[in-house]
Amino acid sequence: MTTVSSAEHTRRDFLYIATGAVGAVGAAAVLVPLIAQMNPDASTIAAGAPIEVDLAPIADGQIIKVFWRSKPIFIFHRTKKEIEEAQKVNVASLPDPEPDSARVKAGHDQWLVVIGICTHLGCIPLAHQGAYDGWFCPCHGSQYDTSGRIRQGPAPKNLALPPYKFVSDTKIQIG
Amino acid sequence: MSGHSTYEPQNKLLQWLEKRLPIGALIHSSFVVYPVPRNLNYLWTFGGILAFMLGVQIITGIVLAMHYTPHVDLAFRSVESIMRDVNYGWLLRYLHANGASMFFFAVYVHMFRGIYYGSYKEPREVLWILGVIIYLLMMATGFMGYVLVWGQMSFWAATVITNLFSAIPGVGETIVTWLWGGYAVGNPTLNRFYSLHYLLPFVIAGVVVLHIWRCTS
Repeated sequence: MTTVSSAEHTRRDFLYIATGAVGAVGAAAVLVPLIAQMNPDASTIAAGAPIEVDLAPIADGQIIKVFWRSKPIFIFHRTKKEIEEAQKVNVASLPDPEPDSARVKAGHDQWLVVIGICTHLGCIPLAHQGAYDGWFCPCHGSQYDTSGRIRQGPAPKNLALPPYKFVSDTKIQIG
Repeated sequence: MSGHSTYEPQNKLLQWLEKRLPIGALIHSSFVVYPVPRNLNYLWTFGGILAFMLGVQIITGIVLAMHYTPHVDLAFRSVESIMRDVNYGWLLRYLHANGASMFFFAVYVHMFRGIYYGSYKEPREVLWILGVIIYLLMMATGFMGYVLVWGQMSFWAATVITNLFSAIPGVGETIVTWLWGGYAVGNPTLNRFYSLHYLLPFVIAGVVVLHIWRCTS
């Protein structure tokens, strides 16, 4: 292949660049299905569809566990005392500051709905344990309060909130 | 055939690598400076086409293996799930299954070139024999892939082909039982076919390297 040292672009240059561009588009097009196939498939997405939970059978002070998208969700029917405890804490003193009002739905502050996965390394904390009337994680000793906020221990963040809404006073839809 | 390679890399990194592992010379002598006959025609492209097809089959196969379940109760369902649920699963399955057919079509054209032009003659006898070995491995791989779907055709194909070995006098039946892992084609058979179906393409790739390796400069 002889090298042409000319200032002008030749037809050959154009063909090389055009071929290269089409080749690059082709390569990208090939990658799309190969990478997309690893995303959740239709059956996994269907299995992760929103669920409805009836709150009526949950007694005062009781915490139940449901599963949504394979994650444990804690639903806590808080007593008046537990709500007060959560609301009167000095927010600025918390490791992950967040007021209780930001963690419950307006008008429904007796219901706390959190994802039951410790924000440290992913164990499932135990309910009604620990010094803060909330949860205690047996793996490394993190302690959460009645609003699911981290108070003590290695966990960096409060228990996460799943997307949910009240479809009626006694029923929520998670997801 | 033997002789020093004329490959001289310009890049410093490539020079460093070349001194320690002369893979550059291998690629250079097999693909860049390998002399081609004056009567070269498009039949000569089929070797490269086959290498491409092997790559396609391996990549689509590995990706399909992420979604397939090699158990008699779940295999067919997992294939249906690939077709219906997995993103672009239908495309990957059809590429792999029909890619296998295309792979064989290309191999027959490639063999035709070899027979018509006498590419098996001295000094290319070993080359031809390696090609036969690749062909046998391809047939084994394709057969096992067909069984993995676990449909009616899969099951009966497995039964018929494995039963062929019972024709061997004396040890035939023992061999067949050994192949099956049971008294008929069943779950042990499916599991081992899956393992071997994943393995053999890489064995093919190894034999292909021998098949295209040239020492001329």
